[in-house]
Amino acid sequence: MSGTLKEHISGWQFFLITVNYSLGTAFFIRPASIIATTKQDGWMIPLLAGAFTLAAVWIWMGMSKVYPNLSIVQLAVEVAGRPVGGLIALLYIWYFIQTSSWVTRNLGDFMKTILMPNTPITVFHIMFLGIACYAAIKGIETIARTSEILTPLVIFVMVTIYLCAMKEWDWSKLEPMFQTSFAKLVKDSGPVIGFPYLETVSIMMLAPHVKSRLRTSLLLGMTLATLLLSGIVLVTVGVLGAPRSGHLLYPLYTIVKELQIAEFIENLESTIVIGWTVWIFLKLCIAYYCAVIGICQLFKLKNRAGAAIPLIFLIAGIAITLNDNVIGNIVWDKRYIFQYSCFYGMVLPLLLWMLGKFKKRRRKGPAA
Amino acid sequence: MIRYMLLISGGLLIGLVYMIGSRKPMKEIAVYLVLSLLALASWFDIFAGHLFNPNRWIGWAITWMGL
Amino acid sequence: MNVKRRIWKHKLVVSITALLCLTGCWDMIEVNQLAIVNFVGMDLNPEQGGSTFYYQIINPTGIAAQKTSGINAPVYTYSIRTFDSTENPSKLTDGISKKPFFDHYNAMVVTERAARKGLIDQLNFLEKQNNRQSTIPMIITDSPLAAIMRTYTSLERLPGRNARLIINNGTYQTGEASPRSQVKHVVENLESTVLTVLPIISLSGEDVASTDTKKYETIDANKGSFILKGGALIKQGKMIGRLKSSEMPYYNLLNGQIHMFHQSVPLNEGHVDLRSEDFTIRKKLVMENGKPVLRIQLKAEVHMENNTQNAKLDEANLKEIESQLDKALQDKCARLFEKTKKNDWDITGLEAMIKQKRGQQWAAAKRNPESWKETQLVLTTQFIIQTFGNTLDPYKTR
Repeated sequence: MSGTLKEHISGWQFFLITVNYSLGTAFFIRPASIIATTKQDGWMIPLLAGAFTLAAVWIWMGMSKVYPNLSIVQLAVEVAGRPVGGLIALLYIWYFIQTSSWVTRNLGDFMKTILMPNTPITVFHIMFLGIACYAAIKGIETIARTSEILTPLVIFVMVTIYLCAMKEWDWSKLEPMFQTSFAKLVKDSGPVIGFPYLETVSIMMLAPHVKSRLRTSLLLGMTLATLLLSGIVLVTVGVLGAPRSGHLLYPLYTIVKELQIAEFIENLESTIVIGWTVWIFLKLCIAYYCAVIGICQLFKLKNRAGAAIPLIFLIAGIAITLNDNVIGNIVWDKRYIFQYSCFYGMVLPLLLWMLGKFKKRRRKGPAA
Repeated sequence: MIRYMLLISGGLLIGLVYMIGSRKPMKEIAVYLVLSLLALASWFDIFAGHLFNPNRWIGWAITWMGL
Repeated sequence: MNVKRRIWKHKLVVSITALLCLTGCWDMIEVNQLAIVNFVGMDLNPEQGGSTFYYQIINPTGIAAQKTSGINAPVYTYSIRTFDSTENPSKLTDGISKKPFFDHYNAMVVTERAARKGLIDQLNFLEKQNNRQSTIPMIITDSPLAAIMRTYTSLERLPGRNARLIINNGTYQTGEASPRSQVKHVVENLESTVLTVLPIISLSGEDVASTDTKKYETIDANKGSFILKGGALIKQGKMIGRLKSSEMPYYNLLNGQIHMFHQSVPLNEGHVDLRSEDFTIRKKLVMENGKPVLRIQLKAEVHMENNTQNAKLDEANLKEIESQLDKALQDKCARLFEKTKKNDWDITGLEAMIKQKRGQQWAAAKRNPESWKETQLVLTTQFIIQTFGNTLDPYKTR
């Protein structure tokens, strides 16, 4: 129960957390916007964005090496002092809360649009946040073990279903290939770098808990996420065609809806929804845990429950406030997400890294 | 609307009473209280008609910086 | 000895208890002896005077799952004529072999001509009976009552229940029926000036070929079935006018009792079809510059059902859709409000609201019974567009 007591997760678990965190919502939401902007060449966008993220990962690793036992929040307070560092820590906590709200709202929008239009959206939010809160109180080891059990299942279901969809595959739908200029590709990959790649900076909160192979897990996780994201865009274009998927809000859902296996297995959409809700749940748990643990570390609390429970209502409220509908989300995402995520994913980590190095050298200086 | 607000505040109040009753550290209670008040404020804002939208503010800030 | 005595005592107590339970048998009801009434119809006889009542009594074998033989009638319709305006129990039992059981009937239908003459006698009679539900819908019909009562309905085979479900659909799916259209609502408003709007149900199709179980063998369900056709305005138990189906949603909206509402707005060389739900409506009558003003604040969630406009969906476009929806609503509501004022139909209950007001500024208005007609309508709306369906922008062939 204690926030300061050391919990450990293995490299493999951290790898799964990386994959879950970067793909949890993006896997369903990103393909539509990627295809809408870049059409049939959309599958290159995640690859490009993934390559850019290597630079970010390098910064994160550098930052975490300065004080390997401290999370971002603790590091900020340590290297920048109580007032400035506290402010940075608060900014990060806000970012985790905001990410949780985004994830929650994405789920709510999806359920309300597609599956259960008569249920109030907040009901989905509160139900989900309730479980996430419980998971966050139980701790990262619990979340890691949950993801260890659930991730293979989810990935297996997804891959199987999309492999079955491949019978609708048509190479000609990918034609003409390589028509997009490099400049446009770079421009279009901006929002994708912001979400989901730079958003993954949140899991650096968990870095001190990782027993071994932190860097390998992170890099491999990012690579797998990139490949899966690129692959799903490719499948979507190949199956639905770029013009059609550009119009759809959740093209992956449409693929599954139109899937017929052997003429009698139809209407598998609920299966995929279960898979996706599990994925969202994992991502939400991690983001929620980061927010809770951030608050606990900043205010040096021992018990997580006191911070976790009111967060349910705060996040549910912010999820409603963030935007009125999907359009607001899409517009904001297109215009601001890259800049906003860069601030948290690149600027602040770089600043903390530099400050940490400077401080360490100065401390060593007089001693030497 | 008022009913929802009362429901949420009632729930949070029960938590507060429990925390005080079980003699949790003062700091913990303070964090709980502050977060609860923030949550209530955000819900009040929703019922009052969305005056506060963090995304819009962030958007303004980024545009103002010229990015 | 002692033991024997105790056993005796126990036996006695048990017997007496059992005997006491038998007192319940005075009001014994044997299900097989009941004629369960499902649907009641009432009409006035214009020439001879008096009224005609129709009772649909459930045929238990007709509604059970049928495996063999032909299809039976789900109900049997009995009709009686009485010379006074309320029903006469002795006449009823003349032709029915079982005991009429009214507790569970589903709906009551009255012809328009009877409603226009006034239903006060019937309502007084109904209120006195302890075995009648007052939460059943009261329906007005402009079709011949005999035809209505002899119609086989499809899907839901009990005609009373069928009519009730149609009204429910109208209330919750389209706003074309008022949720306050039960017997108790008419009774509530008997002594006030507030109007009750009862659903009007007609028979569709000219040739009513539905008074035959053959109806169940034809596929065309449009012929000779019930259809919701607007609302009848009832003031103090008397029908004073009617609203069209298309006006009903706005009536419900002005009275804060709408559940779902569909509206299409033209925009950018196309149109956007919207479904609004989760309404929060605040209604307030205030005095401004010596004139009463009815302020209605409306808040709703909007869902997009179709979109054929040329422009791309973005925040500015959404704002435009919201303002168009607001404009359409303002327009339709204002038109209905003015029309009903001109016809002397106080559909929003203004007269009663003015009567309840206190204070100096309302004194003059309270004295003048016509003052409600000077009321202005001010409608403010706030919409939040929430979902868009599966696609965002429409496909284009141009």
